[in-house]
Amino acid sequence: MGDIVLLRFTLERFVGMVITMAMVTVMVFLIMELPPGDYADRYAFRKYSGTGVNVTEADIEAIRRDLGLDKPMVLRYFDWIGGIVLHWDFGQAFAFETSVTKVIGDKVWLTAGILFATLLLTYIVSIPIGIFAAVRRGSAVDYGLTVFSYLGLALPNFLLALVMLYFANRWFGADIGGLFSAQYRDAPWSAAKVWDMMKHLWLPAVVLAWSAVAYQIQTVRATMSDELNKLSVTAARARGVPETKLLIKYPARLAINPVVSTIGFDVNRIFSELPIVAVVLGLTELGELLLRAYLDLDMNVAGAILLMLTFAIVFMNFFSDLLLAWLDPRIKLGA
Amino acid sequence: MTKILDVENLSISFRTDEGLITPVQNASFSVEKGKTLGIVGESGSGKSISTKAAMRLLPNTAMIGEGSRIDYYAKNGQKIDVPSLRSGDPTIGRLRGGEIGMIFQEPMASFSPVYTVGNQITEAIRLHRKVGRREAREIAVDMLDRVGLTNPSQRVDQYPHELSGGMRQRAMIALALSAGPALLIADEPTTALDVTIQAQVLKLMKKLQEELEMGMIFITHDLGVVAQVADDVVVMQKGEVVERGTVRDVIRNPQEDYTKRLLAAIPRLDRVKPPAALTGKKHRPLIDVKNLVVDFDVKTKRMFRTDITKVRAVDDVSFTIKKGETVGLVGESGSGKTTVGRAILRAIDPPDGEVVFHRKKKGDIDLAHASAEELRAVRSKLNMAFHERPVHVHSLGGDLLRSFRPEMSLVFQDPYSSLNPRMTVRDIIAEPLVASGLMSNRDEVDARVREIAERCKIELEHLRRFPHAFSGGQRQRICIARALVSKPKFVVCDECVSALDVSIQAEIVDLLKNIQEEMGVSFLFIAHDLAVVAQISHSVAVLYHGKFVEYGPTEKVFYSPRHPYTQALLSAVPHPDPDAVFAPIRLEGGFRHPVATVSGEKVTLTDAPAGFDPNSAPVKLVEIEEGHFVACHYVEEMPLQNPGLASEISAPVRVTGTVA
Repeated sequence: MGDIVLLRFTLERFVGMVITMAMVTVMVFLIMELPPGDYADRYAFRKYSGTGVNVTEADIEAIRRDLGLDKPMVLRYFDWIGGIVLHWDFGQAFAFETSVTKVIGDKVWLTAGILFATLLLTYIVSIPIGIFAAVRRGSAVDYGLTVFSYLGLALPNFLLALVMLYFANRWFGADIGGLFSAQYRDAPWSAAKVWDMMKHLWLPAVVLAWSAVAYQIQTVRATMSDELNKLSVTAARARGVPETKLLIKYPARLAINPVVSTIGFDVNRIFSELPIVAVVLGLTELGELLLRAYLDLDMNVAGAILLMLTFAIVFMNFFSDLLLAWLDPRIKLGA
Repeated sequence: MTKILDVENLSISFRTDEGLITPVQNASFSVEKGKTLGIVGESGSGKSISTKAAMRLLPNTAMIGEGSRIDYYAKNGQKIDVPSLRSGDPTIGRLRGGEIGMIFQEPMASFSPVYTVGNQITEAIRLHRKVGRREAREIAVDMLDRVGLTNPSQRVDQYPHELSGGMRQRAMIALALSAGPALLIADEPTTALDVTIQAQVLKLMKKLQEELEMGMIFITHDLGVVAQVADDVVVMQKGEVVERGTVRDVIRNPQEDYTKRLLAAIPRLDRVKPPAALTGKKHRPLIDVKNLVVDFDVKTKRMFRTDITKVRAVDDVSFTIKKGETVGLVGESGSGKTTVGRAILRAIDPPDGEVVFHRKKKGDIDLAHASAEELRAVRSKLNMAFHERPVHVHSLGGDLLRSFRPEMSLVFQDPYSSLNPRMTVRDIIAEPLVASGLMSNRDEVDARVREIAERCKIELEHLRRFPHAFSGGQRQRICIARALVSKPKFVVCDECVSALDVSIQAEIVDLLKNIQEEMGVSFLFIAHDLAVVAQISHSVAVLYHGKFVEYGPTEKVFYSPRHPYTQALLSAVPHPDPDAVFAPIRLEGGFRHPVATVSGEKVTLTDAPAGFDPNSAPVKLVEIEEGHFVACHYVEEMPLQNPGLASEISAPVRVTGTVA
């Protein structure tokens, strides 16, 4: 009985995820089609402007035909999505005069690394501190943490990045910007390179996690305070469960619910904050690329990044649904 | 006699923002092995807090006063000086659960919803007994079996929300006893349960206590329960012990004024004189409920589909509410009493049946089928006094309900959550008038609010204050005033005194009676407390699974009940008399309807023969004497709808079922 319920729940959410992703592809495609003119126009303009060559409508039309852009929209959508699914081909990035896949390249993994490190750091720090603050409600520690939280929320990211950069420079030497030390920057991937990346990753992760930590501490503290007052916690205490085990087993398990349910939001928020932090810290990642792609109207690049980001968010939502169902079995029972 | 727990001069204070408060002062009590101490008191008397101190369960802000002594004599003979234990001392862990077990008032909330029942019971076992995982599980199954849960080996893997309230409280008792404590503290363990379930749980606790030779502290506000379970009693008031003694002495021969008042305030089913039934032509019917039916959809999730089954919450219910009459509606949780009240007021759309509302000038109207506009026309005539979650009401078709409020009123069970803390008392009372547009002139509204406030004995200067300044009883007056401000003809009171202390309960019941006399309003009084219903109701209906099993004048239904279910229900009420025989009838496998035989003017009720399937024949209400109906299986040869009434009543029905 219980297994069937869990299976049904997982299946439901999985189907939901697939449907959402399908709708997302349509929306992203529409966004790509939104700016006036198409790839052929922009390609021709970029290629021949300033060269003195006279480009006629017929030339552009030829390019369009070459690239299959004269087909109806529905067919173009299927061409686009088919290329991605079958060949991992997101089309051409005209501004770079190469394929989108090449342009994005390593940046996908670097961005994913930053996002993941930031998420991990946020939860590792905020959950225990939030629980602690709730247990010591009204104490000096609690007030101190509250003040820190407001500071964290008020401080702009880029400013924090600058400050951190300054101190990191003083303490850890000059080579702190970017994600790699000089010797690894263009080297092929190796264990040493990954380790080097780890050593650099913490700085952007701390900067990006800062406000999220401040926010989540308050969330965990609030729900934990509610949970601590529940009769079931008193009842567990009255049967002699030791305090630390009690806190983790009973109130904490439910108190992290709101944190778990917003993992998807966090991904999105961190990604939006990424470009400005990337600029300050000299990182190369997708957020900044997305911004540039919009400015250049390089819609194939923009579409690819947008698609990956939304897929990541939708997947994280699926993941958080499953995690929630495990944390609170009532959820899968639809109670 | 060996003492287990000895508390002397216990004082407990709390540091709060408003300074030091002392909810317990110089309290002394002790428990002996194998004996039960009842601690009785109203809310705020400090009865719970003083026992929590013995388990070191008080919050950090609590301070034990100087000279307070709590000595616990452990199973191994060691004397533990409880207040002197440092926090973190392993003795505290042993004390909690291992030496002293505890059960709580809310069986719904005392289990964590995210672990199975078995997980939480084995946790307790493994903390205090050196047993492996598998053995602990076996002990848990055995304990669940001992507390009378069916299929214990299956139940052990279920989540708490899969068990009913009564089953959960049994499971909680199993949990508390599984580690083999020498003392059991039961904090209002049966207050949230239905009366028949309460009777079973009380019997069970008594039995287990004898088997295990435990000491027990039974905290309750209900002197009837104390009279049945306790050997000794301590009466607490405002943190102090005002009277102590054996249960017989305290109840039979109370010395202190407070105890006397407390005893006098308790409505006793065995002594209440219910209001006489309203008979004769001059009492016109106000509302005729005819064949009312309400269904609810219940969804069950399967692998690829969701099954929807209809559950009949109210099944073919018919009765009449006369002008100025109070009709009591009793039954256990889930019997459909609240649903009947709401369906009458059309807060729920009944799929079938009629609710005829008789009006003097504009003629009759069927509320069950009236359009929104027609309903608007009767507004200010009917009102409700709700219970629990007010949310439900607001979520039920806003427009329709708003148009209704003034004619019907609601009085909620929980006077704390049903008043908006940001509105003054005057605005709260005036709300139904203003929101419905019934009255808009400020002076008019003020005059009406004052008039009603006076009726409800709310001091006029209180009208400017906010609800937080008032006690539970005062708040309930405000709720009642709000329900009456539009001068409705009919008010539904849904469990409106259940959350109040007995002394305040008595005041509110008197208030409702007075208001009824002055304003001629009719009440549908829904409650699970049979004694309160007996105090106020002219007639009473007993609901079981959505059906009326007995209905008639209160004095007949309660004092010569004819249906086995009514008899079982009444037998389960513990009377505050230690010498009263407490022999609750336990109906096994539901109950059998009696069979009525009507010949000429005479109605005879007999047991249904053994092997008679109650589902095989329709159940009908038979009028066995004037106005007194009992659900029976018709016997075939019996003529239908005998207009003549029984002039001679046959011997009472023999009770089907066994004495538990």
